[in-house]
Order: sequence, then structure tokens, then C-alpha cells
Amino acid sequence: MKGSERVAVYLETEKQRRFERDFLAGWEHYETWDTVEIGPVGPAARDYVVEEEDVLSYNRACGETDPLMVDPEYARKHSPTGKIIAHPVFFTSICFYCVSPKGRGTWIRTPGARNPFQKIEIIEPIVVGERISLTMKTEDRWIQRGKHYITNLFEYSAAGKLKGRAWGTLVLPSTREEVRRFAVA
Amino acid sequence: MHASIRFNDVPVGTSLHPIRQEISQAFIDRYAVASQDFNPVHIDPEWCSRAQVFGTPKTVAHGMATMSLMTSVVIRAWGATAGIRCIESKFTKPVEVGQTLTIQGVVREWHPIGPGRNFVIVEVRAQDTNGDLVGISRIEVALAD
Repeated sequence: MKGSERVAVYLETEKQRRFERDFLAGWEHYETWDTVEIGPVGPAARDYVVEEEDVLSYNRACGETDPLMVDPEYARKHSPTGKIIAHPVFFTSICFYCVSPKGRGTWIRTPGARNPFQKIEIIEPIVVGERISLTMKTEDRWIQRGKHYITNLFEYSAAGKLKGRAWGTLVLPSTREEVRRFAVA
Repeated sequence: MHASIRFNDVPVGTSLHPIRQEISQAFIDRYAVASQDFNPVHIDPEWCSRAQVFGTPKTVAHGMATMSLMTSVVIRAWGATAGIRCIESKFTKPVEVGQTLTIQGVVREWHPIGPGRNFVIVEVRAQDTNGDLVGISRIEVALAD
């Protein structure tokens, strides 16, 4: 059984059930290191309305047990927002959901990609109930010690107010032919 | 305990309670679903044995899971409402399935900027079962006066 099918036992949320889990499907449409355009800013394919179940799923997957993060009833009484508190790295889940399997930013789904470093700047925590809009800009690509790096800036906003930024960097296969080598492995 | 952490309570050298996490395939799979990162390098053992992206036939944990666990050192020590403002993480070795991570944090920088603006930098290091460094983070945390 393929991994994307096996993990279905862990699906908990409506977004997870709707999400295209097979990253090997449609790889021909992913942006590649050698063709990606550096500089233009554009919106992600869709927004992310933060539901309680989304935050709970991420917090539990990280092993959190603080009732402010995993017990909605407790959080309603004791959290500063009256809602469960999202793990600070929850931003990454929003990113993967908002980037569609086609078009801008799809290189984050690339088979054969490696993750060397990441940065997340939190201006305000993500709060349940917010509609998060994501913009993306591929800021840089470079070759270092034979590896092909690419960095994307993601900006997360709610109601026009910036909530956070993330600089995502990956080491990618350099061409579509290189991606193919991993996609058909 | 958490709400009482204040800037003056955590000088340079303060250690945060370490956490341990077994990286089972179930842990990786559950993180894949929660983060919606279904790259086969994490969730497809058969594909990994053929592709060997990291030179190993095994699946590896998400870098973002390691980043999350490194951040969890701070929120488990200082509370879910800890004022984390920035996380920078570098991943130095792939985390193969079956490893157990030990993750420890230490206050490395203390920034007395002024009332309401004070912050610290916590350095968090994650080591695998062999004691090898797999990730290191620099986490900026704003603290109450």
C-alpha cells in the first residue's frame, strides 16, 4: 500500500480529508528549480479558515498535552483568546494546504527535496476562526557545494493584517528530468 | 508555573527541561497528516528504499516536525502562551525512522531592551539516538518584566 493511502487512518479534519495526498501525482506540473521565476509576489491558490480541529490535529501530532493546546473546554475558560492555542509552527500546515498541486509554489511538494533550514517570524499568533490569506514570493535560488537551493517568502495575513512570515528553503533536484528520476523511482 | 516566568527569572545559561520523542512511523505519518506534507520521503518506505534521497533506504522525519519539537521545548517549559516571536532552525542530519530524539534548550542571549520589550534567545539542540546533532534552533522569546 502506498504511504499516501496508509496514512488515511490518521485523517481527522475536513481539510485533511479533501487534500490531495499523493505528491507523486502531477509532479509534471510542479515548478522546478531551473524554471521558477524569482521575484514576483502572488497569492496562494486558496485561503485557510482556521478551525478548532485543524489546530487540535497539529498540536496533538507534535505531542502536546497542555490543556490550553488540546482541551477546547479548558481553553474556553483559561486561554487569553478563549480558544485553544496553536503551536507556533502551525504556520507550516497552512502553507501546504494553501499551495495547490498546480502553479506557484508547487516545488514545495517535490519528490527528492531536502530541508536544510527554515525561519518563521510570528507577529501575532494564529487564532481559531481567522481566515488566513497567504502570499508567496520565490526570493532566491543558488548553487552551493553542488546543491541547488531555493528560498520562498510566505506572508500570512488575516483581515488585511500581517500575522507572520516564513522563509522556506529547500534543496531541490535541479531540473524536471532530475525530478522525474525521483518521481518514478 | 508557566505564567510566572519572567525576564529576570531566566538569565543566560538557564536550562529548559529536555524532551524526548521516539520517531516511529506512526509519529511521522500523523505529522504528515497534520502538516499536510505528504512527501514520500516521509511516508512511503518502499519508495524510500528505491529513491534513497538521503542515502538511506528508510523514511525520515519531517524537518518541520523536528522544528516543532525544538519549539515545544520552550512552550512546554514556559507555557503555551510563551511569547515566541521568531524561530530559525537548521537541520544537520536526517532523522531516520526508529530514532529517539533528545531535545534540550538553553538561554544563550538576554536582551534587556526596556519595559515590555525584553526578550531572550533560547538555543535548542536536537540529538538522535547516537548522540549526533540533527537540528539546532535559535528561538526568540519575549518575556514579561
